[in-house]
Amino acid sequence: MQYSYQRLLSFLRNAMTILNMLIVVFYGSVILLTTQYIVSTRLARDFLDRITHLPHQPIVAFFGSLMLYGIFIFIMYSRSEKVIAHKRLNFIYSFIEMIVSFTLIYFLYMEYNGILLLVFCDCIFHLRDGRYSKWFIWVLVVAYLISSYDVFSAIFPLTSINEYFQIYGSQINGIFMMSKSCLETLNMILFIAFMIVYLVDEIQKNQHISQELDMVHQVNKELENYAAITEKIGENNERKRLAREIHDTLGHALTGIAAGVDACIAMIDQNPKATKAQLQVISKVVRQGIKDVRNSLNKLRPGALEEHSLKEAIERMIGEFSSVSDLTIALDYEPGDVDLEKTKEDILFRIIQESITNALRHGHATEVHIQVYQENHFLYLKIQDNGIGCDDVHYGFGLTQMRERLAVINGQVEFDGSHGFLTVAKIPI
Amino acid sequence: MSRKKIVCILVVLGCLLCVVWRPQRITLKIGIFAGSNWDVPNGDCYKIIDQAIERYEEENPDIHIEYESGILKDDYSEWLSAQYLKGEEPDIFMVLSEDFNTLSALGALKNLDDFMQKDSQFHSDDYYENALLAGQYQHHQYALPYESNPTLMFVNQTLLQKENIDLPSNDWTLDDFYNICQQVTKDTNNDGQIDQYGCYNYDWLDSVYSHEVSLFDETGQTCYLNQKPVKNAIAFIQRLNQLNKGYTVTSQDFDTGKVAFSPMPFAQYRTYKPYPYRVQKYSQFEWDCVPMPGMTESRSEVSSLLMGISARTSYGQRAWDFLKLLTYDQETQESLFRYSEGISSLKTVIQSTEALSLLNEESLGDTQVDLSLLNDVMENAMNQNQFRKYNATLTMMDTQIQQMIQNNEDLDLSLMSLQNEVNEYLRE
Repeated sequence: MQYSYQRLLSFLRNAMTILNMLIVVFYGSVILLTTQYIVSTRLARDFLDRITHLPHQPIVAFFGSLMLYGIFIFIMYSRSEKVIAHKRLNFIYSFIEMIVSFTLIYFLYMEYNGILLLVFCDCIFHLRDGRYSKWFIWVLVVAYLISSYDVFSAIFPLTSINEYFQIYGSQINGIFMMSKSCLETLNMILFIAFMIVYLVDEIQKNQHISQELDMVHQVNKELENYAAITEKIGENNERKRLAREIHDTLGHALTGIAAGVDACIAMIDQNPKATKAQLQVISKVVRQGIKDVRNSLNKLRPGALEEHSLKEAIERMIGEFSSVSDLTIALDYEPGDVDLEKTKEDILFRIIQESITNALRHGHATEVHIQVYQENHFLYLKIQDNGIGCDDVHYGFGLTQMRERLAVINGQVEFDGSHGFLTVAKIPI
Repeated sequence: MSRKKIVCILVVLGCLLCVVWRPQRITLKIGIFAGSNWDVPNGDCYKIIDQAIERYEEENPDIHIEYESGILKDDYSEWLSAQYLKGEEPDIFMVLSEDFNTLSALGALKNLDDFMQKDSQFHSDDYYENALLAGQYQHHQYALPYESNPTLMFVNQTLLQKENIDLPSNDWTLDDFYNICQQVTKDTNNDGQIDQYGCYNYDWLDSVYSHEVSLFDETGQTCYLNQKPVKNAIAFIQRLNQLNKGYTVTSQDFDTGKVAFSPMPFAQYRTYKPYPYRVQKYSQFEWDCVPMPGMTESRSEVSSLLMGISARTSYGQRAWDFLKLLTYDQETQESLFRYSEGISSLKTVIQSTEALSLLNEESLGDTQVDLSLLNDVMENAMNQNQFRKYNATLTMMDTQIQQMIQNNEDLDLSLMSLQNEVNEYLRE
């Protein structure tokens, strides 16, 4: 389908090219041969009295217009795919095409401006980029308006080619006018046909695209649903795992402790020694329980922190963010080997993660600068983005959680949304 | 990439070849016609040009000047037009007065204003103002006068002597002219018919020039026919005609010496006054020339043969140099007296002793025509208006005014309607 339209378009363009060549030859010959006719019939002085401006040299008009038409065709057909892909070069090609054809029209005394229609077709055929082509089409329309004899000669006086026709008397003049009119109308018809085919092609293409877009929409929706379901399943799984963990560790330990304590209550009056031993055992179980709980908590830590140091984990996270978005993130990590508790590391990591997410999601920032430094027994974390910021900070879930998390380790946090968004966290070491 | 390189190299090579093999010698083409512009016999028509070319080529060995010989004056206008249409017009050429307006209007002639201003050796004051004006179109100089030809008044001395009338002085007026005409118009053989006449060929335009009227505004948009001086001028012709009581004076009457006055171009005077042509014409009586009569002082028409440069010439400066050699050079212009019938349009030439001796050489005999007379005539010449429709308008007016004069029509009404008609044509 697509293929046949393209073929039809290029067929119409070729037909116009040939027709325009005929017209150029026609006008050029009229100028050249009529001049010879005028000279040989000794009508030159009368002719000078009729015209309003000195005509071009006929040889120059004839060969000049043919040569320009040759150049025009060369430019038109030498526009390779490489040129079309290069927007500016493509535009320059179109512009040269227009200049050449305008000069050609000038050589033919502004009588025939149908060549600009061919330029129009050719450019529509090639210009794909919106911005340049819109301007260019305006320029072409203006050129088309100016290039008519009546308009142009009002500004720059010019001989009318009709004077050349009229020298022959009404009968031959009539024949000339008829052939001229036929050729020009034919060109116009070809132009209209070209435009119709082009528009039909465009409309069909658009329909095609909108159909495809619909399909993409549908697929997207399905994906979203799927993602939601997956999330739910994950949440459920996590819940089950937590329950199992609690059941296996705390539940187990607490049951044992409860049973042990019951036994102690029963035994304490009769055999305090055995009770003491029993309590020793319970104490062991409690310690074991604490160990188990800690182990379980460790399992809930961010994956990156489990295997790497804090700095490496942050860098890794930055790398992941950068690779999925246009965000440029700079990290300035000063404290070398400060031994931080795992909880603090976790919280720091989460704050950075949350801040970058906010910068991206709410601030639409393109750059984020992260600074981690140590000062007077405090660790400072500064995160500045270049996003839109906000006039007053609204505490949503993320920021509240950040504050709460820090409060657990006696830390403080401040936010400022006046120039981008700034988050400053202060953590005691 | 390599193909592009090859194309580039070819283009550069082509340009280099063009530069290396460009013509070393410039050829200037000039356009001139054979014979005299004033329709009098002339055997030395190419002499002045040939001499000028020789001098110019000697001074500028890199320039070659050529012309096509044998073009008759009658064919010249057509020839020049054809050259223009073919785009092969000469660089410098003679411009007939009837072509000047058309060519200037078409933009075919180079505007000389710049050359004139920049050339420190050129002073337009050296020309008689009216001769220079002949080459101006809409306040721009498009051509320079090569040769001028003032109109003088032929006087039949024999006839005046017979009637005991003195030869008119150089500052005679229209009234003197009318009075003499009145005195000489009579029936000499008493057959009841007038057979001696005052003037021949003195037409309404001569009268308009004598009355110092301008018929058109400067741009040729309006004509001023319906004004008092024009009426006076035409009424003057009517009065002159009335003297003849309806008889139209013919050239035969003039040739046989029955007419006292007739306008005569200076070129004709110079041709027929000296030997050998004096034998051929007007040999039955003594004759001389005086300036045309005027209201207070003499006013006459001066026609000029102009020379211009093509607007499309590639050698503007060289063409200007040669044009100057032809139209502004003392030596060339002096040789006009020797080989041509017209006179120079340069004051310095007319006032020079060289010219005086050349004019004396011709043994014009006892004559009132001398250089001071020519100087006065040139100073007081009336110039034609320059616009494109001038010739056509004049023809149109001529036919109608001739009719008015012949039918003795009421001038007020006729001139008003003619003025409207002409204005309509001018505005078309």
